[in-house]
Amino acid sequence: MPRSNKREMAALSNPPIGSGQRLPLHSLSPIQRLPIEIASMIFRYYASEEAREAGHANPLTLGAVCKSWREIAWTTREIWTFLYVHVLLSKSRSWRTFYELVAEWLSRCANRPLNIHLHCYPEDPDQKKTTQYEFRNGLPLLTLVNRYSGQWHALDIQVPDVLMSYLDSSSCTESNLSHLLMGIPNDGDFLPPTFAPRIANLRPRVVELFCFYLRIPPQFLAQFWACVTRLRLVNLSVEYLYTIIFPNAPNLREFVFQGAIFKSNEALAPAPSTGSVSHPQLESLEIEFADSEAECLFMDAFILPGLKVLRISQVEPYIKLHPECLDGFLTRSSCHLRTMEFPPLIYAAEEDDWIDVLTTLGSIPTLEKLNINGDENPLFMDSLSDLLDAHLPSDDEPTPARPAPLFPSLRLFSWRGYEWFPWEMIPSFFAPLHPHDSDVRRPLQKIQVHCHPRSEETVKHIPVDVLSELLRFVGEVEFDFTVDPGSGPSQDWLEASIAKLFK
Amino acid sequence: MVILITSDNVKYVVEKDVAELSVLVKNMLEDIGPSDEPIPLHNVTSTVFNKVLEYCIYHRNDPPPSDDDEGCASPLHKYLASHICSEWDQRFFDVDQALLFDIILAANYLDIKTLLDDACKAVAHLIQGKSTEEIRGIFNIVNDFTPEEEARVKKENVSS
Repeated sequence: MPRSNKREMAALSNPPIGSGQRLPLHSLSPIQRLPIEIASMIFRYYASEEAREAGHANPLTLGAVCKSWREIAWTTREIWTFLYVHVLLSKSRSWRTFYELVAEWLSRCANRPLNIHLHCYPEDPDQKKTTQYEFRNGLPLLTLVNRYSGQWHALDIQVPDVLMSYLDSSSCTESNLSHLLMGIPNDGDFLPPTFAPRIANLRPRVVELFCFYLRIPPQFLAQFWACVTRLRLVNLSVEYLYTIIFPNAPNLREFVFQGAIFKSNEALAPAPSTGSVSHPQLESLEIEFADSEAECLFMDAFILPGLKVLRISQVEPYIKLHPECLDGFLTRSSCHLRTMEFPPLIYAAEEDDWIDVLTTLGSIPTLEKLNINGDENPLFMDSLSDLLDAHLPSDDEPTPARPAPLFPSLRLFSWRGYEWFPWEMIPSFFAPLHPHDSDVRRPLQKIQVHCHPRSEETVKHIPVDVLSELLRFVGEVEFDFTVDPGSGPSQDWLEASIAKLFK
Repeated sequence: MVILITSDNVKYVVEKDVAELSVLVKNMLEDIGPSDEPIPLHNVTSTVFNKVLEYCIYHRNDPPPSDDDEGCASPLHKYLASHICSEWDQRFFDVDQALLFDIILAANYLDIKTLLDDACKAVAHLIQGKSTEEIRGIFNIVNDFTPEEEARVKKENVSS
């Protein structure tokens, strides 16, 4: 027999997938003709991450179709590696059956990495207090999950405080955990609670903590935070960051801090009195302040020389933020920012406040994107407008006070606010970078203005002299001027302003 | 050019790079060496092979599938891999079930990984978001559980 035929015969007797064993031919279904291994492959695609997250895939559904599907589903390990448990602890149900089901589910994945989503709520999700009855219902679930701590790959656990302390990975000898998300229902306490789950042996890369402090024994702190590259904190204090996390997380690159508060929990993290913490590795920071004290402390206490992206906001617009603190932070950090996004600091009424911080920001030679959100204060844009061409001589000032151009690398300017955007300032972006060379300009690619008028007030149309200036650059720069009144369709304000000229 | 003969004796003259998307054919060509000898495809009829060929011609320039798709792929790569990406693919697999399963069997026999993967995804897509009863209806599957088993199945699904 020629070799080719031998190979083909071998291929026929040993097809690439499947041993030739077929699903039982007890029905007319064409799917029953598939080898079991291919049916298993289909089940794996069925239970893809996206389908599971959308609630479109449940392995138990497959196992309920017929005997042969059940057997295949039960032995396809991969489809059991994602466990989503979302339960109301006060619900009357057969809890014993439920625990058995969870235990079987976890055992079916054999020793594969597990992605567990365990959300247990007391009767009222906003109520932190959990009854003993609810505690009894929740604890066996946590115990089951703990048993598989060596296989945790991603763990998203949100349980009442009385249960959180029982999370325990001490049976795990080598952590495979990549992503850890922990939260408790927030009851609006002044001070988020502190818990000490036994998880100090974990080495997560991504950590998200919601509404509570993680009390890890000091001797394990360095190990627990050592591998963290991405961190998200919600409703925690700046002191915690200062004392506990930053000194122990040298590899942190991306940090989102929502609801940053200043509430000194002295037992956990004494408020820093002197000295700054420098974190050279941090590249991206998105921080939302819940109070002014937190902002001042953060800006005074941290030096972030590696920062490339900085996004600042406040929980409520009335929270007073301090331009001088931001200015001091930027100056001390000497970072090479590429993107800066911040809300207008509405309580800073003095124009000089803006001038200083915008001067510092504009002096960063790498800054490419400047985003302003929720602007309510005309002073900010007036200051920016003055600064953009302040390095050029004019009739009033033949010798400019500021010799260097600001924002020399600006590519994107984005503004979102209410009704009053000062269209007259836009040509300032196109001011020459050098007094004697009118062709060298900022490398702008896009200017975006989105106005959201709050009442019947009308947005001013773009004046004709500004329009004629913009038309010079229309091929090089994208102008996205949108007015969205909320009650009707949004309008392209460049088109609307041009149309108004011809009325 | 490569000559392929299907199980119903239909002869196809196929460009070599297209034919070699099948690992089975590629191995056989390597074994034969330069030759005009036709290659028999005993497990594939011409009806099914027409579809397989259509797929191979369309995807002839795609990058080869990676073995570590599950392990080290980026989130975007995984996302794309878990989808039937193009409208063309969606139209291609919009066929009756019998033909779809024949394509899967042919892809498996011919060892064309991307076709096998995409066809399995197409079947998986048919049942995503469907109830047990709906799945039985789609594939004409008979519920063969005993009453005791049925009770257990119901209990599981109620508890979940």
